[in-house]
Amino acid sequence: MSEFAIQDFLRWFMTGLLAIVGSVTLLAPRQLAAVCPHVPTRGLDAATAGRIEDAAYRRKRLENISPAYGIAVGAAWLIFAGCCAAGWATPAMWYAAAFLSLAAGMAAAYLHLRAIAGRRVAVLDVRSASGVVPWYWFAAAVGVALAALAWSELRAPGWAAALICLAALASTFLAWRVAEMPALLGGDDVAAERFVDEHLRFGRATSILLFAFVEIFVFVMFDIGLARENPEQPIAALVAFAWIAYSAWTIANKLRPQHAVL
Amino acid sequence: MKTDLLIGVDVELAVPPNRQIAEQIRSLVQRGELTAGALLPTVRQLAGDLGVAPNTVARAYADLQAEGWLVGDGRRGTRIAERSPDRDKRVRANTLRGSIEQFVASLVGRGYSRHEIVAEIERLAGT
Repeated sequence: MSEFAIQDFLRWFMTGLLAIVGSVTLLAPRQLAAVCPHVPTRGLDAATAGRIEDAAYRRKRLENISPAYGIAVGAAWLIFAGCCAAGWATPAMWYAAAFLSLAAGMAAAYLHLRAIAGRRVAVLDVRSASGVVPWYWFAAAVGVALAALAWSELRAPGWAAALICLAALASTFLAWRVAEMPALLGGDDVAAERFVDEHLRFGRATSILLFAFVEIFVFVMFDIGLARENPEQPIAALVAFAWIAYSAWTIANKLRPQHAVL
Repeated sequence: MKTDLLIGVDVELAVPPNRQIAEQIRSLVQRGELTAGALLPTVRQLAGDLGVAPNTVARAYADLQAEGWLVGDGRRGTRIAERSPDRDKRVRANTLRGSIEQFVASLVGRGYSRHEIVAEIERLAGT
Protein backbone atom coordinates (compact mmCIF):
# COMPACT_ATOMS: atom_id res chain seq x y z
CA MET A 1 0.00 0.00 0.00
CA SER A 2 1.37 3.43 -0.85
CA GLU A 3 2.18 6.04 1.82
CA PHE A 4 -0.78 8.14 0.61
CA ALA A 5 -3.24 5.24 0.85
CA ILE A 6 -2.11 4.43 4.40
CA GLN A 7 -2.50 8.07 5.48
CA ASP A 8 -5.95 8.17 3.91
CA PHE A 9 -6.98 4.95 5.62
CA LEU A 10 -5.72 6.24 8.99
CA ARG A 11 -7.60 9.51 8.56
CA TRP A 12 -10.94 7.77 7.94
CA PHE A 13 -10.28 5.16 10.59
CA MET A 14 -9.63 7.93 13.15
CA THR A 15 -12.67 9.89 12.00
CA GLY A 16 -14.82 6.80 12.53
CA LEU A 17 -13.31 6.06 15.93
CA LEU A 18 -13.80 9.61 17.20
CA ALA A 19 -17.34 9.77 15.81
CA ILE A 20 -18.38 6.42 17.35
CA VAL A 21 -16.94 7.14 20.82
CA GLY A 22 -18.32 10.70 20.69
CA SER A 23 -21.81 9.42 19.82
CA VAL A 24 -21.73 6.72 22.51
CA THR A 25 -20.64 9.34 25.07
CA LEU A 26 -23.50 11.61 24.04
CA LEU A 27 -25.97 8.72 24.39
CA ALA A 28 -24.66 7.73 27.85
CA PRO A 29 -23.12 10.98 29.11
CA ARG A 30 -22.75 9.85 32.73
CA GLN A 31 -20.69 6.78 31.89
CA LEU A 32 -17.52 7.91 30.16
CA ALA A 33 -16.61 11.35 31.49
CA ALA A 34 -17.77 10.64 35.04
CA VAL A 35 -16.77 6.93 35.05
CA CYS A 36 -19.66 5.35 36.96
CA PRO A 37 -19.01 1.60 37.15
CA HIS A 38 -21.97 -0.59 37.93
CA VAL A 39 -21.96 -2.01 41.46
CA PRO A 40 -22.35 -5.79 41.09
CA THR A 41 -24.68 -7.75 43.36
CA ARG A 42 -24.53 -11.10 41.54
CA GLY A 43 -23.78 -13.99 43.88
CA LEU A 44 -25.08 -12.20 46.97
CA ASP A 45 -28.20 -13.27 48.85
CA ALA A 46 -31.34 -11.22 48.18
CA ALA A 47 -31.20 -9.26 51.46
CA THR A 48 -27.55 -8.27 51.00
CA ALA A 49 -28.07 -7.46 47.32
CA GLY A 50 -30.99 -5.23 48.35
CA ARG A 51 -28.80 -3.38 50.86
CA ILE A 52 -26.09 -2.87 48.24
CA GLU A 53 -28.60 -1.61 45.69
CA ASP A 54 -30.08 0.81 48.24
CA ALA A 55 -26.61 2.07 49.16
CA ALA A 56 -25.69 2.45 45.47
CA TYR A 57 -28.92 4.38 44.85
CA ARG A 58 -28.26 6.70 47.80
CA ARG A 59 -24.70 7.21 46.57
CA LYS A 60 -25.93 8.04 43.07
CA ARG A 61 -28.33 10.62 44.48
CA LEU A 62 -25.64 12.09 46.71
CA GLU A 63 -23.13 12.35 43.85
CA ASN A 64 -25.74 13.70 41.44
CA ILE A 65 -23.23 13.76 38.57
CA SER A 66 -24.39 16.10 35.85
CA PRO A 67 -24.60 14.68 32.31
CA ALA A 68 -23.04 17.99 31.17
CA TYR A 69 -19.51 16.59 31.55
CA GLY A 70 -20.23 13.67 29.25
CA ILE A 71 -22.17 15.83 26.79
CA ALA A 72 -19.25 18.28 26.56
CA VAL A 73 -16.75 15.45 26.01
CA GLY A 74 -18.98 13.68 23.46
CA ALA A 75 -19.55 16.94 21.55
CA ALA A 76 -15.80 17.66 21.55
CA TRP A 77 -15.07 14.19 20.12
CA LEU A 78 -17.63 14.72 17.34
CA ILE A 79 -16.11 18.10 16.50
CA PHE A 80 -12.63 16.53 16.42
CA ALA A 81 -14.02 13.79 14.15
CA GLY A 82 -15.24 16.48 11.76
CA CYS A 83 -11.87 18.27 11.86
CA CYS A 84 -10.11 14.97 11.17
CA ALA A 85 -12.40 14.20 8.22
CA ALA A 86 -11.77 17.70 6.84
CA GLY A 87 -8.06 16.95 6.80
CA TRP A 88 -7.04 19.78 9.13
CA ALA A 89 -3.85 18.71 10.92
CA THR A 90 -2.90 15.06 11.34
CA PRO A 91 -5.30 12.36 12.63
CA ALA A 92 -2.90 11.79 15.53
CA MET A 93 -3.37 15.40 16.57
CA TRP A 94 -7.18 15.03 16.77
CA TYR A 95 -6.81 11.73 18.57
CA ALA A 96 -4.56 13.41 21.17
CA ALA A 97 -6.91 16.39 21.49
CA ALA A 98 -9.85 14.02 22.06
CA PHE A 99 -8.12 12.28 24.97
CA LEU A 100 -7.09 15.63 26.40
CA SER A 101 -10.77 16.68 26.35
CA LEU A 102 -11.69 13.39 28.04
CA ALA A 103 -9.14 14.04 30.79
CA ALA A 104 -10.59 17.54 31.22
CA GLY A 105 -14.15 16.13 31.46
CA MET A 106 -13.13 13.54 34.04
CA ALA A 107 -11.22 16.19 36.02
CA ALA A 108 -14.34 18.38 36.12
CA ALA A 109 -16.44 15.43 37.34
CA TYR A 110 -13.80 14.67 39.97
CA LEU A 111 -13.89 18.28 41.24
CA HIS A 112 -17.67 17.98 41.50
CA LEU A 113 -17.31 14.79 43.59
CA ARG A 114 -14.70 16.42 45.84
CA ALA A 115 -17.07 19.28 46.60
CA ILE A 116 -19.92 17.09 47.90
CA ALA A 117 -20.88 18.21 51.39
CA GLY A 118 -23.33 16.94 53.98
CA ARG A 119 -23.49 14.93 57.14
CA ARG A 120 -21.03 12.02 57.05
CA VAL A 121 -19.33 9.39 59.12
CA ALA A 122 -15.74 8.17 58.77
CA VAL A 123 -14.16 4.79 59.33
CA LEU A 124 -10.98 5.02 61.41
CA ASP A 125 -9.05 3.10 58.81
CA VAL A 126 -5.81 4.23 57.20
CA ARG A 127 -6.27 4.47 53.45
CA SER A 128 -3.85 5.31 50.64
CA ALA A 129 -3.94 5.58 46.87
CA SER A 130 -1.42 2.75 46.53
CA GLY A 131 -3.69 0.58 48.68
CA VAL A 132 -6.24 0.79 45.85
CA VAL A 133 -3.89 0.59 42.87
CA PRO A 134 -0.25 -0.31 43.65
CA TRP A 135 2.18 2.58 43.13
CA TYR A 136 4.11 0.73 40.42
CA TRP A 137 1.11 0.90 38.07
CA PHE A 138 1.09 4.67 38.43
CA ALA A 139 4.85 4.66 37.77
CA ALA A 140 4.34 2.40 34.73
CA ALA A 141 1.63 4.75 33.39
CA VAL A 142 4.01 7.72 33.70
CA GLY A 143 6.72 5.69 31.91
CA VAL A 144 4.30 4.77 29.13
CA ALA A 145 3.22 8.42 28.77
CA LEU A 146 6.84 9.49 28.44
CA ALA A 147 7.36 6.75 25.85
CA ALA A 148 5.09 8.78 23.58
CA LEU A 149 7.70 11.53 23.66
CA ALA A 150 10.48 9.07 22.88
CA TRP A 151 8.34 7.86 19.99
CA SER A 152 8.02 11.43 18.84
CA GLU A 153 11.83 11.70 18.77
CA LEU A 154 11.93 8.73 16.40
CA ARG A 155 8.92 9.36 14.20
CA ALA A 156 8.46 13.05 14.83
CA PRO A 157 4.65 13.37 15.09
CA GLY A 158 5.61 16.45 17.17
CA TRP A 159 2.72 18.21 18.88
CA ALA A 160 0.45 15.17 18.75
CA ALA A 161 2.94 13.19 20.86
CA ALA A 162 3.28 16.04 23.33
CA LEU A 163 -0.52 16.34 23.63
CA ILE A 164 -1.13 12.62 24.09
CA CYS A 165 1.67 12.50 26.66
CA LEU A 166 0.01 15.37 28.52
CA ALA A 167 -3.40 13.63 28.36
CA ALA A 168 -1.94 10.37 29.70
CA LEU A 169 -0.11 12.17 32.53
CA ALA A 170 -3.32 14.04 33.40
CA SER A 171 -5.27 10.73 33.49
CA THR A 172 -2.60 9.16 35.70
CA PHE A 173 -2.68 12.08 38.13
CA LEU A 174 -6.48 12.00 38.15
CA ALA A 175 -6.52 8.23 38.82
CA TRP A 176 -4.19 8.83 41.79
CA ARG A 177 -6.48 11.55 43.17
CA VAL A 178 -9.59 9.41 42.67
CA ALA A 179 -7.91 6.49 44.49
CA GLU A 180 -7.34 8.67 47.54
CA MET A 181 -10.66 10.53 47.40
CA PRO A 182 -12.60 10.97 50.65
CA ALA A 183 -15.04 8.15 51.41
CA LEU A 184 -18.69 9.15 51.10
CA LEU A 185 -20.45 7.32 53.93
CA GLY A 186 -23.80 8.68 55.03
CA GLY A 187 -24.15 6.40 58.05
CA ASP A 188 -27.50 4.75 57.15
CA ASP A 189 -25.94 1.34 56.42
CA VAL A 190 -22.21 1.82 56.78
CA ALA A 191 -21.20 -1.70 55.73
CA ALA A 192 -23.14 -1.51 52.46
CA GLU A 193 -22.06 2.09 51.84
CA ARG A 194 -18.45 1.08 52.39
CA PHE A 195 -18.82 -1.79 49.93
CA VAL A 196 -20.17 0.64 47.32
CA ASP A 197 -17.49 3.23 48.13
CA GLU A 198 -14.65 0.72 47.78
CA HIS A 199 -16.12 -0.66 44.57
CA LEU A 200 -16.49 2.81 43.01
CA ARG A 201 -13.05 3.91 44.17
CA PHE A 202 -11.39 0.84 42.65
CA GLY A 203 -13.52 0.89 39.49
CA ARG A 204 -12.99 4.57 38.80
CA ALA A 205 -9.27 4.69 39.61
CA THR A 206 -8.46 1.59 37.53
CA SER A 207 -10.64 2.72 34.60
CA ILE A 208 -9.07 6.18 34.47
CA LEU A 209 -5.61 4.67 34.69
CA LEU A 210 -6.55 2.24 31.91
CA PHE A 211 -7.25 5.24 29.66
CA ALA A 212 -3.66 6.42 30.31
CA PHE A 213 -2.28 3.09 29.08
CA VAL A 214 -4.71 2.56 26.18
CA GLU A 215 -4.43 6.02 24.66
CA ILE A 216 -0.65 5.72 24.36
CA PHE A 217 -0.88 2.12 23.13
CA VAL A 218 -3.32 3.06 20.36
CA PHE A 219 -1.27 6.15 19.49
CA VAL A 220 1.87 4.06 19.06
CA MET A 221 0.07 1.27 17.19
CA PHE A 222 -1.59 3.84 14.97
CA ASP A 223 1.77 5.06 13.81
CA ILE A 224 3.56 1.74 13.58
CA GLY A 225 2.01 0.95 10.23
CA LEU A 226 4.16 3.73 8.83
CA ALA A 227 7.36 2.50 10.47
CA ARG A 228 10.19 1.71 8.13
CA GLU A 229 12.94 1.23 10.69
CA ASN A 230 13.35 -0.98 13.71
CA PRO A 231 14.06 1.48 16.57
CA GLU A 232 10.33 1.98 17.20
CA GLN A 233 9.67 -1.70 17.83
CA PRO A 234 11.03 -1.95 21.42
CA ILE A 235 8.99 1.09 22.51
CA ALA A 236 5.83 -0.29 20.95
CA ALA A 237 6.48 -3.68 22.57
CA LEU A 238 7.04 -2.11 25.99
CA VAL A 239 3.87 -0.03 25.75
CA ALA A 240 1.86 -3.07 24.66
CA PHE A 241 3.33 -5.19 27.47
CA ALA A 242 2.52 -2.53 30.10
CA TRP A 243 -1.06 -2.22 28.85
CA ILE A 244 -1.65 -6.00 28.77
CA ALA A 245 -0.04 -6.54 32.20
CA TYR A 246 -2.09 -3.72 33.75
CA SER A 247 -5.31 -5.01 32.17
CA ALA A 248 -4.60 -8.50 33.51
CA TRP A 249 -3.97 -7.10 37.01
CA THR A 250 -7.19 -5.08 36.88
CA ILE A 251 -9.31 -8.04 35.78
CA ALA A 252 -7.74 -10.33 38.40
CA ASN A 253 -8.46 -7.81 41.14
CA LYS A 254 -11.99 -7.14 39.95
CA LEU A 255 -12.74 -10.82 40.34
CA ARG A 256 -11.29 -10.91 43.86
CA PRO A 257 -13.82 -10.41 46.68
CA GLN A 258 -13.74 -6.95 48.16
CA HIS A 259 -13.38 -5.94 51.78
CA ALA A 260 -15.53 -8.38 53.77
CA VAL A 261 -17.87 -5.87 55.35
CA LEU A 262 -21.14 -7.63 54.62
CA MET B 1 -5.01 -2.93 59.81
CA LYS B 2 -8.68 -2.89 58.76
CA THR B 3 -11.14 -1.53 61.28
CA ASP B 4 -14.87 -0.93 61.32
CA LEU B 5 -14.72 1.79 63.97
CA LEU B 6 -16.74 4.82 63.03
CA ILE B 7 -16.87 8.42 64.05
CA GLY B 8 -19.17 11.18 62.85
CA VAL B 9 -19.68 14.90 63.09
CA ASP B 10 -23.06 16.52 63.59
CA VAL B 11 -22.80 20.19 62.60
CA GLU B 12 -26.16 20.92 64.25
CA LEU B 13 -24.82 20.16 67.72
CA ALA B 14 -23.66 23.04 69.91
CA VAL B 15 -20.38 21.17 70.56
CA PRO B 16 -17.66 22.24 68.06
CA PRO B 17 -16.70 19.54 65.51
CA ASN B 18 -13.11 19.26 66.81
CA ARG B 19 -14.41 18.42 70.29
CA GLN B 20 -16.92 15.92 68.87
CA ILE B 21 -14.06 14.16 67.07
CA ALA B 22 -11.76 14.22 70.11
CA GLU B 23 -14.53 12.94 72.37
CA GLN B 24 -15.37 10.02 70.09
CA ILE B 25 -11.74 8.93 69.73
CA ARG B 26 -11.26 9.24 73.49
CA SER B 27 -14.35 7.08 74.10
CA LEU B 28 -13.13 4.42 71.67
CA VAL B 29 -9.81 4.24 73.55
CA GLN B 30 -11.53 4.10 76.94
CA ARG B 31 -13.81 1.27 75.76
CA GLY B 32 -10.75 -0.60 74.52
CA GLU B 33 -11.92 -0.55 70.88
CA LEU B 34 -8.90 1.49 69.82
CA THR B 35 -5.87 -0.21 71.32
CA ALA B 36 -2.42 1.11 72.14
CA GLY B 37 -0.26 1.61 69.06
CA ALA B 38 -3.19 1.67 66.60
CA LEU B 39 -2.54 4.02 63.69
CA LEU B 40 -5.15 6.71 63.03
CA PRO B 41 -6.02 8.11 59.59
CA THR B 42 -4.09 11.17 58.46
CA VAL B 43 -5.57 14.58 59.20
CA ARG B 44 -6.34 15.08 55.49
CA GLN B 45 -8.06 11.71 55.10
CA LEU B 46 -10.24 12.05 58.19
CA ALA B 47 -11.12 15.66 57.38
CA GLY B 48 -12.09 14.68 53.82
CA ASP B 49 -14.18 11.72 54.97
CA LEU B 50 -16.01 13.79 57.58
CA GLY B 51 -16.40 16.77 55.27
CA VAL B 52 -14.72 19.17 57.73
CA ALA B 53 -11.69 21.45 57.42
CA PRO B 54 -8.29 19.79 58.02
CA ASN B 55 -7.68 22.29 60.85
CA THR B 56 -10.65 20.84 62.73
CA VAL B 57 -9.16 17.34 62.77
CA ALA B 58 -5.66 18.71 63.42
CA ARG B 59 -6.98 20.54 66.49
CA ALA B 60 -8.76 17.40 67.75
CA TYR B 61 -5.55 15.36 67.33
CA ALA B 62 -3.49 18.11 69.00
CA ASP B 63 -5.86 18.24 72.01
CA LEU B 64 -5.73 14.45 72.37
CA GLN B 65 -1.94 14.51 72.09
CA ALA B 66 -1.74 17.21 74.75
CA GLU B 67 -3.91 15.07 77.05
CA GLY B 68 -1.73 12.05 76.39
CA TRP B 69 -4.23 9.90 74.45
CA LEU B 70 -2.32 10.08 71.17
CA VAL B 71 1.31 10.26 70.17
CA GLY B 72 2.77 11.65 66.96
CA ASP B 73 4.85 9.08 65.11
CA GLY B 74 6.64 11.43 62.73
CA ARG B 75 5.82 10.91 59.07
CA ARG B 76 4.21 7.57 59.85
CA GLY B 77 1.19 9.32 61.37
CA THR B 78 -0.58 9.50 64.70
CA ARG B 79 -0.99 6.53 67.04
CA ILE B 80 -2.89 5.67 70.20
CA ALA B 81 -0.55 6.18 73.17
CA GLU B 82 0.85 3.13 74.92
CA ARG B 83 -0.26 4.38 78.36
CA SER B 84 -3.81 5.66 78.79
CA PRO B 85 -3.89 9.00 80.70
CA ASP B 86 -7.08 7.92 82.50
CA ARG B 87 -5.42 8.02 85.92
CA ASP B 88 -4.54 11.70 85.69
CA LYS B 89 -7.14 13.66 87.71
CA ARG B 90 -7.16 16.67 85.41
CA VAL B 91 -7.57 14.50 82.32
CA ARG B 92 -10.33 12.50 84.01
CA ALA B 93 -12.17 15.72 84.84
CA ASN B 94 -11.77 17.00 81.26
CA THR B 95 -12.93 13.70 79.84
CA LEU B 96 -16.02 13.65 82.06
CA ARG B 97 -16.81 17.27 81.23
CA GLY B 98 -16.38 16.69 77.49
CA SER B 99 -18.61 13.61 77.52
CA ILE B 100 -21.36 15.32 79.51
CA GLU B 101 -21.21 18.45 77.34
CA GLN B 102 -21.67 16.42 74.20
CA PHE B 103 -24.42 14.31 75.76
CA VAL B 104 -26.32 17.37 77.05
CA ALA B 105 -25.89 19.24 73.75
CA SER B 106 -27.28 16.24 71.90
CA LEU B 107 -30.36 16.04 74.17
CA VAL B 108 -30.95 19.82 74.06
CA GLY B 109 -30.75 19.58 70.28
CA ARG B 110 -33.51 16.96 70.39
CA GLY B 111 -35.80 19.26 72.40
CA TYR B 112 -35.26 18.21 76.03
CA SER B 113 -35.09 20.99 78.61
CA ARG B 114 -32.14 21.32 80.97
CA HIS B 115 -34.49 20.67 83.89
CA GLU B 116 -35.67 17.37 82.38
CA ILE B 117 -32.09 16.27 81.71
CA VAL B 118 -30.83 17.11 85.20
CA ALA B 119 -33.87 15.44 86.82
CA GLU B 120 -33.30 12.25 84.84
CA ILE B 121 -29.56 12.17 85.59
CA GLU B 122 -30.27 12.66 89.31
CA ARG B 123 -32.83 9.88 89.22
CA LEU B 124 -30.43 7.49 87.49
CA ALA B 125 -27.58 8.41 89.83
CA GLY B 126 -29.87 7.72 92.78
CA THR B 127 -29.59 11.15 94.39
